[in-house]
Amino acid sequence: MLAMIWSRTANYIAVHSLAQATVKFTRSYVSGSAVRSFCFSQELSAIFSIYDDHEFVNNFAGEGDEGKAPFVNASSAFRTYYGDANPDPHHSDVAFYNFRYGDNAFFVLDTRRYRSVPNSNAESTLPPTMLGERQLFALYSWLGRFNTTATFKFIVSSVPFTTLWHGFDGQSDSWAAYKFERDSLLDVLQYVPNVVLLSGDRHEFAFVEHRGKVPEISGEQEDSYGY
Amino acid sequence: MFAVNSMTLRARTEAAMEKTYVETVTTSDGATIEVTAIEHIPEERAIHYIASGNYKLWVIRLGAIEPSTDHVMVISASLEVDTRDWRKPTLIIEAIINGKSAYRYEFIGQPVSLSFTSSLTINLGSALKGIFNKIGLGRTLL
Repeated sequence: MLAMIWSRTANYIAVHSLAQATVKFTRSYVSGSAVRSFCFSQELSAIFSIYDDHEFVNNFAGEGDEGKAPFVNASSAFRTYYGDANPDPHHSDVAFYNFRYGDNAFFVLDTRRYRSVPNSNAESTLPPTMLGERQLFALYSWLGRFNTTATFKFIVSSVPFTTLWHGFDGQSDSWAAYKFERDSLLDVLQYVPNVVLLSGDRHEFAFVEHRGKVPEISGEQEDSYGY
Repeated sequence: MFAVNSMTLRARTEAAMEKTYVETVTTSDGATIEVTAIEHIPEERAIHYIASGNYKLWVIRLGAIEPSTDHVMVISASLEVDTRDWRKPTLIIEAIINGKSAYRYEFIGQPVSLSFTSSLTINLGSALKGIFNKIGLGRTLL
């Protein structure tokens, strides 16, 4: 294995108070990182990671507001243990990033910090957003840049891109709740050769095809310290 | 402690679309013609689904429900890219459950005529920025 993309919970953080201190989040990573099998994996392969809701609180939607608890404290702990080892992000104050390996390119999305709460404002004239304007711009720019400069383009999303998942939170915590933004993105992706979506979250494996063209591989590693 | 295990992925969407295939065929008299076939396909369809991991064990301790640490199902997906033949870029997808291969699929991509940028910019300042954090010396760990 050359690399592991960790698009999922490094450790299940049981948030008892949204205002809890960074040190409490940090403790969760200490215990999670001490698991022997994970230490072994870290020694053998590079690990690229991005946070998901359980780094914050279940189904967290940051709404583009850095002050929304527990974003600051929880993301600080995440950066210390995982984020700082990632390739440089697009800007110094964001978590999403891209990198290249051989003739393959990867874009790792931040699906938590900018997402709005779907249907929270019935009077809003704007559709709910998963990525936020700044990240969307970065993603579209990246697609343009790597369209003909990389063979495979992998887009990593910590939550499923497919709308096929039902069951617990399947329609509310995934891209299914952000259908306008998702469909707009697919309108572009279907014309970019060899785009592959990698997603996690559902504790299952699925291989899904979008519009007869864009594959999505959804899987998630679970073990005794995940859940 | 209780477990939830169910099939939660639908096979396809109700919304459908047309997929067009164009194939160039040479006839017996040497002429080439383009044959167009239109297939109606769902916008999304599940090609393969393994629900084995879709259970969670929960324990009730001191009145609070928590995820159980007894849960030992390990699911991972492995990707192998082979682009040595530019005409046939291949992605091999493998699902591994508890260390055993549960599904394997070869996805053949489109040939991409790669073009390369002619400019090379190195920003030494940004390359070194945060170097101590990257090697774990920038913050005090617990």
